[in-house]
Formats: sequence, structure tokens, C-alpha cells
Amino acid sequence: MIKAEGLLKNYPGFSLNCTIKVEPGMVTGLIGRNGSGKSTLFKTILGVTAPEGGKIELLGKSPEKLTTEERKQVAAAFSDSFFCSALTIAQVGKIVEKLYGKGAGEYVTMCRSQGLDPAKKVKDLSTGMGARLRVLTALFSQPKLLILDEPTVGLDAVARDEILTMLRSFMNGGDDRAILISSHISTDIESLCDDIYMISRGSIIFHEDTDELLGRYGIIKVTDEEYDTLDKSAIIKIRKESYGFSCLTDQRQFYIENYPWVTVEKGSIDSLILLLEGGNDV
Amino acid sequence: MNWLFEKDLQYVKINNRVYLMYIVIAVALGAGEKMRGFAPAYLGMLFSMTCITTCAYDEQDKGYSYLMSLPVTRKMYVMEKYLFNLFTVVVAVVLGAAAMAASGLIRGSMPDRDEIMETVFASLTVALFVPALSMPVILRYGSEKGRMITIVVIGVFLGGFVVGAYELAKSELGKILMAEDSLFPFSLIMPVGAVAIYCLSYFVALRFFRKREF
Repeated sequence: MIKAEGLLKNYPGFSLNCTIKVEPGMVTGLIGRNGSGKSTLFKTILGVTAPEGGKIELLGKSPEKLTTEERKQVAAAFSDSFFCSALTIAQVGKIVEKLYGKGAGEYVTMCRSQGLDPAKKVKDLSTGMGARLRVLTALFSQPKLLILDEPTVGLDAVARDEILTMLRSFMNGGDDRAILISSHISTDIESLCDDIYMISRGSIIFHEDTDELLGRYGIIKVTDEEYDTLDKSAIIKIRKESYGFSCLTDQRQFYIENYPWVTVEKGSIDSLILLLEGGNDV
Repeated sequence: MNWLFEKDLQYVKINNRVYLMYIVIAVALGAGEKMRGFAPAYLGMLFSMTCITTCAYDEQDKGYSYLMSLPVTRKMYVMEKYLFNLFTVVVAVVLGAAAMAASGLIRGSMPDRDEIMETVFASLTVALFVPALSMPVILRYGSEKGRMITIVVIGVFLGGFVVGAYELAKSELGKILMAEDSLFPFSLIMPVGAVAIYCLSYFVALRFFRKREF
């Protein structure tokens, strides 16, 4: 669905250089700190900004070769960007119904069914309602590929769950669908995504299947003395802590079996971010 | 492209009271005998600013990032802006001409067809210059920064136009053009020139907009 190889984009003080792939039937997550390049990568994939190098394929074609009809199979939602907020939901509906060739009133009906008042202006919606509207608008086109930049940012647990439920039912619609999503909320990514990319300073520094990450990866917590005796061949990153060291490994089971006296915790996205971003090499 | 047209129409609807007020003022001030050509010129000028307003709305809340992620090319976007602007200007001038004819009818001194047509063409000519000069700047620099630059561009253009017209009027060429039996009368050159500048402006704006980063 998306194939980006050596994608290059330079800004003063920042350089994006990424390779990423999103397969049909997969939900791919992109994690990274603020300013790591997530939004730039999304905008470059979508053609909002022009890449300076590398190759992009969207639905198997170079983005500029996609016809308008093919382009309608790709929909995006951003946390901070939408139609002008002075428009009402009903007015947005008139625009997107024309855009996607839908019948009059279909958008408003869909919004009403999701508890959104069509007479309300976009700017008057709560954070949760606004997020729901942006995702609903992306889903309205019945796309094959959804690209979502922080769709759950600033939402409470209930609102986040509603968005995630919408995305899960989108994926249940067929194996030819895919989602590329970025989020700061690790539980959202863990529960939704099939594979995860981590981006740091414009480069992909980690890619793994979520099941592998949660099953194989772990955090070993050791004192200074225990660290000295540890087999470090499967340690990816270490971080100095008050009690000694925390170590990221992709062979959790190995350390559970061979070092039963040390604490080995299951891998999580949060620990991965902390150690990959803030840790040191062995 | 029709959805872009719909979007801009919805923006106009946000300010429908302001546009209604423009029309009321145009009709009221144009009702007097001495101001009979006022309504088409006034409405044409005011409605020609619509393109700046719609660009500002598009830009609001980082809107361009979202808009450009939709199935639209930059060429389609710029083309629609120029066509929409042409549409609003023509509607405004025709409305103004209708008001001019209606007030003439009420006064009992209905302007003849030639007078209405001359006023319509003159109003359209002037109304096309504003977007032709402002659109490339707005699409290159954004509506906030672009507004200031537009004022400078229009000022420079008007200054150049006045000096150029003055020099032309003094020259032999000017005398030929202004002669009553001229093959290329000034009254024809101006609208043709306005359309040519409007078309040229589209290509410049497209070039600028293609380079713009969001």
C-alpha cells in the first residue's frame, strides 16, 4: 500500500531519511518523540511536501501517476489540520459529498449517527468530537488506505476507544485495507498495530512486529555487579539507573532461563522509546 | 474541481451578510443620477477581493496541509481559484448592472444598452486587475504576509500604469490608439489587456504555488 525507500527531505536543522513499508491488511504504527519527523514523513508520503530524493509508491504507483479516482482511495486525518473551522459540519458535508461523489445528506446522516450535531461549527466542537469528525471524514470516502497523524491526541480514554473502535471496524471491512498511524499513546499503538516503526531525528531506528516486540523484547533490571556478569550479546541498549542498569533485549526468554535471579520485564513501547532514544550502546 | 468550487461558495456563505451589505450600499449609492455607473464598479471591486478571503480561509488552522492531502493537484487548486474569482466578479458586475438598469427605470432615465455594456466592461476590466496582481503573491507568501506585499504590488502597478498611460497619451502611438476611428481603440485594449494579465497571472501563481511548502 505504501513503499517509501530512502525518502529524503531537508529543512534547516532537520533532515528526513526514511524507508517504510505498509502492507495490505496491516495496521502500521509510527512512534517517535515530538519533532522526530512523523508529520514530515506523512506529508511527504501524501505529496503535501515534495521529497528531495528517494522513491515513494502509493497503492503500487508513484503518487503523481495516481488518477484523482485512485487518489480517493487514500484518506488522511491530521490532529491539527482540517477544513476551515468557521464552517459547520453540514457545510463540510456539502464539500466532501461533492468531493467523493456521494448523495446529498449522506455525510450529515453519518455524523448524526455518531452523535455530531451538523449545525455546529467545527471550531465549536470539543477535542474529542473534533477528532471523531476528522476520522469520520477520512472514513467517509471508503478508502483503502488511511493515514492518521496523531488521531487520538488530547483525548480521554473513552473518546480514544471510540476512535480505535472505528479504525478496527474499518480494518474488518477487507484484507485490501491498511492504516498508517502515528500516536504518542503507546497503549493505542500496542492494541491496534500489527507492526511498529520508530523514528528519531528523521530516521527509522527500529521496526518490529508488535507481537514480536511484546513477546521477545524485554527490559532487564540489574545492579552494577549483576551487569558485569551479564551476557551482553543480546543486549541492544542500556541505560544507567539509580539501582544499576536497565537493559533492552530482544531475547527476553534467554535471560529469564539463564539469569533467574535478575528482574526481566516484558517489553513495551514506552520502555522501547525510553531505551532506544535515551539509552547507550553496550 | 466542483468540490473546490463548493468549498469556496461555502466560505462566501459564512460572510453572506457582508456581501448583502455591499449590494445594499451599491444599490443605494448608485440610485442617484450622477452615480449611475457606481454599482457595477463598486460590486466588481469588492467581490474581486473574494479570492483573498477564500485563500485566507483555506490557510486557517494549517488547512493547506489537509487540503493538499485530498485528491487535488496544485494545478487544479490554482485553476479553481481563478475560475471562482472570475465567476464572483462576473456575478457582481452583472448584479451591479441590473441595479443600474433598475434604478434608471425607476428614475425614468433608463441607461441605453451601449452605456450599460461600456460600464460592465470597464468594471470587469478594473475588477480583474486586483486578483491578477494579488493571487500570485497570496499563493506564494500566504494571506497574512501576502496582503502587505499585494498593497505594494498594486501600488507599483498603478504608479507604472499612470506614468505609462501619460507617456503613451503624449506619443504618436497614443494618438493613433485614441483616435475615434482607431482599429485598436483604448477601450478595447484595456479589457483585452486585463484578460491577458489575468491569464499570465494564473501561470505565475501556479509556478509559485507548486514551490510552496506546507
